[in-house]
Amino acid sequence: MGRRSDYYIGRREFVAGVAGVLGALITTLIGLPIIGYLIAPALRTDSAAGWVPLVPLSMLQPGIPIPCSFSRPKRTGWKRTQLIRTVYAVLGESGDITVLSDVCTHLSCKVRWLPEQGVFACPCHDGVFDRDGDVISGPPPRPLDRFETKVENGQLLIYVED
Amino acid sequence: MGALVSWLDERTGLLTVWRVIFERKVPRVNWWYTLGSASLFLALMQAVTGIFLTMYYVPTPEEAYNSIQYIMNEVAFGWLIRGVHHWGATLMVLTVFLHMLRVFYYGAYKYPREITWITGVVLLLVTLGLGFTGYLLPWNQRAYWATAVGTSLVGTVPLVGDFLLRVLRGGAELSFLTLSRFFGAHIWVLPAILFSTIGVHLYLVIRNGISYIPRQDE
Repeated sequence: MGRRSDYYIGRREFVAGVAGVLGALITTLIGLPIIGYLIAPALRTDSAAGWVPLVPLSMLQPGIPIPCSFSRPKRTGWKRTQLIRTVYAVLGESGDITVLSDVCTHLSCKVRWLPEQGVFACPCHDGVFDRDGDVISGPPPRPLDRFETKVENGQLLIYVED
Repeated sequence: MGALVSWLDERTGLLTVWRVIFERKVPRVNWWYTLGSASLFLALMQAVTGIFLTMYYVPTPEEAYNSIQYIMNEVAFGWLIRGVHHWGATLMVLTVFLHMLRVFYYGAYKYPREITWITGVVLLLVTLGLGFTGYLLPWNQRAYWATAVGTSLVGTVPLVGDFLLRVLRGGAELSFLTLSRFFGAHIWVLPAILFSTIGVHLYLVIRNGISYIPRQDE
């Protein structure tokens, strides 16, 4: 370095610095958009919440959960599809109606009503729920989810949030 | 920093690798000598953007076009990732070709660099193959008919032409099988050949050093 001042930058250091800055710039210009690109579908929320007609009241039986299927239009990526879901409608002794989700509260497998045992059972990790959706045994942390219900013209409707 | 580097170097010999690759002696050359590095940079860029494109692209006749429309219009920065891949492909063919011309006109393919030249020819052909197979993937009219014409050329080869045509298309006509095998070739077969050949090519460039610009009396 000799008499040169402390601020002197040699050609090698200059070129290395410029290369580093350009490299960082290109990495950022491509890297940041890639993060947005990857998380894009996760940020998309097309809420289709609303009341869905489920079943005529006359179909319900006291004390026995009736499986009811309904389909919801769903947009996945560029495709419009129908998402078919099943819920269980139970008519209580006092005429009250409970509609239970069939999604296990443990790790979201589908529970099934077993008429002989009178319980909902999950095939994945042996979660068992009673007729009201309360946990009898197994790993589920909370009762089966319930839907808001209403009755119009002898028809049972539920409020679906997604 | 220095301590970390020497800790790593003691266990990996990283500094030697760094010196051999980046601190090797080169003759005084001109800007035409940057085309190889430019091609390498573009190849890496194509690999990165291509990998991310496969996350949304679906290689079937039903979904290919729609999935690309989705990438372009709905995925955040999808237009950018695909744009870089699209224009990078064109640019890469250009830089690789100009790189070949530079080597040819400077006579840099001569002893002891013949094998570097031969691997370079492989790289040029693979680059063109990547361009050709990638062109079909959008599955739009241009892609379809360009590939119909491009594959028909192979059919004119004497004797085995028809067989080669069927191999290339996965059948007599352009179909979902063509799209599927072009996709496989585009993202697996050709890139694997490309990057392994780049490895040999770069090894030879470093091992033999680069040639100086020929003087007038040579």
